[in-house]
Amino acid sequence: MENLIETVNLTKRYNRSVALDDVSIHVRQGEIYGLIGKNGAGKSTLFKTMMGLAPKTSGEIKLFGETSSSGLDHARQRMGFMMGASFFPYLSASENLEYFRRLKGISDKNEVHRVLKLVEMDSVKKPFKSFSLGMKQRVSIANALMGYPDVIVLDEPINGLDPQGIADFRRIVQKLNKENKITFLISSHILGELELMATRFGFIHDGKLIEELNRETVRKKTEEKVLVKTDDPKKAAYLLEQQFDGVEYIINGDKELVVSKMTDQSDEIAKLMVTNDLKLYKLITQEISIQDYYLNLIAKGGTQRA
Amino acid sequence: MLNYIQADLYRLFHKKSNYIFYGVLFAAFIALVTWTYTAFEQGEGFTNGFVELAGILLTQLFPLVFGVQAYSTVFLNDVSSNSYQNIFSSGLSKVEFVLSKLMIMFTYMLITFLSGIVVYLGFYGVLLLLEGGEIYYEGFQKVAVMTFNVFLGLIGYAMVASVVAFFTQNTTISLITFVALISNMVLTILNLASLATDKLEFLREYTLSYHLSESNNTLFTQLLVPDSGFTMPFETWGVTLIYIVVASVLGILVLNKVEIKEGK
Repeated sequence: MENLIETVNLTKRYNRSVALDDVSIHVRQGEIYGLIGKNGAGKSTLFKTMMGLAPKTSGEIKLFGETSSSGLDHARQRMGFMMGASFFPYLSASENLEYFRRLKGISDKNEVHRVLKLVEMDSVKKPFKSFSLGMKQRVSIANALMGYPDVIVLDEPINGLDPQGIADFRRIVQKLNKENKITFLISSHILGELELMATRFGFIHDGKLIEELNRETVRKKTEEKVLVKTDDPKKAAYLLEQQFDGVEYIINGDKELVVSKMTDQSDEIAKLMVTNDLKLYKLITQEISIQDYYLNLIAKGGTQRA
Repeated sequence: MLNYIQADLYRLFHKKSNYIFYGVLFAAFIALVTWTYTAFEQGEGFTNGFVELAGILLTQLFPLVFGVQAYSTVFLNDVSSNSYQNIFSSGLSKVEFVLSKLMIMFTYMLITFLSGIVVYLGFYGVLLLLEGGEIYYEGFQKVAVMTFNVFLGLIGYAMVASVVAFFTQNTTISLITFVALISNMVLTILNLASLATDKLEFLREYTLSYHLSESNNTLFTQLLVPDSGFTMPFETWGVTLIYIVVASVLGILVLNKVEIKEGK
């Protein structure tokens, strides 16, 4: 699949501190790419460097295959971008977006109304300076959506949105991705929300991109498990197969059996082991969220590189 | 580039406080001229004085009152609203941005200045009709040259101050720089320094203020002295254009090197 956004060993230094360290990210056409990282991990710096707002120290940026300075500027015209909510305070939402419609050379005059309607800001006439944080965020999202760009890059888009706003935002992203084939690159530290939307994930920590995984792999790595420690895991596996249809498990060493899913049947598993004279040393259920997975990843020191 | 010019002009003419500012400015101008009318004799003397007053206002007050507003609106609103990140992420190159800003400053000043001229000439026409005076063509010609001189100077100062705006992305520092430039502060400092030592005196001739002051003084004298010669300040305009070109190149280099500050 074609990479629409790619960086090759991208590095950004501020004096002695390293904000981005050899980052090689790959965003493919049609994806909703979730960039996961805590505050200060390098997400915003990566976006700023990518969008021409901060000069890189070394490495390469490829947008739609373009690498030259003029080529990158040209490629950015095919992208929507949102970082914070910065607009002219004395203009209304529609006036601000009209400004950017003209700047981006979008000929359809109804485009401003369309995107404002998407974020439910079409009827607001007051100036931007009197908006709440959530309203400002909606205008910023609308600006990024304007003109049906091929790629939309959103930095912390759900900050300040209320629960309904977050749900609406998710619906809009998924709709545009599915119906208009728009590729999204979204960063957030609210991982649960990204988990619901993203089709691929990148984990960034201390300026390093630790891992890039697709949704299926993440699902496998974070799925619910029952961990059984017994004196005879082979016999335990045989018993499970006899008792439960389609049971999935792996034998881990000579004492451990990891059973996929079935966390709601852990009592029955325990009973099965005990009634069949197996010594049950330990039986625990594990439900790993993507947040736990990320925390485990960075606890390992982020040694696993993409 | 044309898209950006169009977008920024849209912004400038949708800023409601601009209309209030210019409404007050033009009203003050008319009030001042009316006051001057009572201070001059009627007839030809009155009409000449009226034109001369416009010249004085242009060279002395115009840069401070109009220049600060124009520079602030054209260059600093982007900074104060943190709009650079949305502007540059749209794919607009730094070269296009700086050249566009130059064109926008010129267009904005021209449009607002032409509006002022319409108000001025309208009032002048009414007074001529009331007093039966004659149109002072020569005076108008000289005022037009003075206007262009001030106009070009303001653009030169704005482009120099814009380099500071791009570098610091701080409205206060940039505005102070602009005010210092139009107040001829650099020239004043060099003049003061020349009292102590003549080693720095040669620097005066490299300042924009020096050339603009020289030509302003020449034009002002020509305006006030009837039948005096009429010299066009081509050298000053040439120096100003060099300043504009150098400041634009510096602005582009600075924007390519600095990091755009994040919005809130």
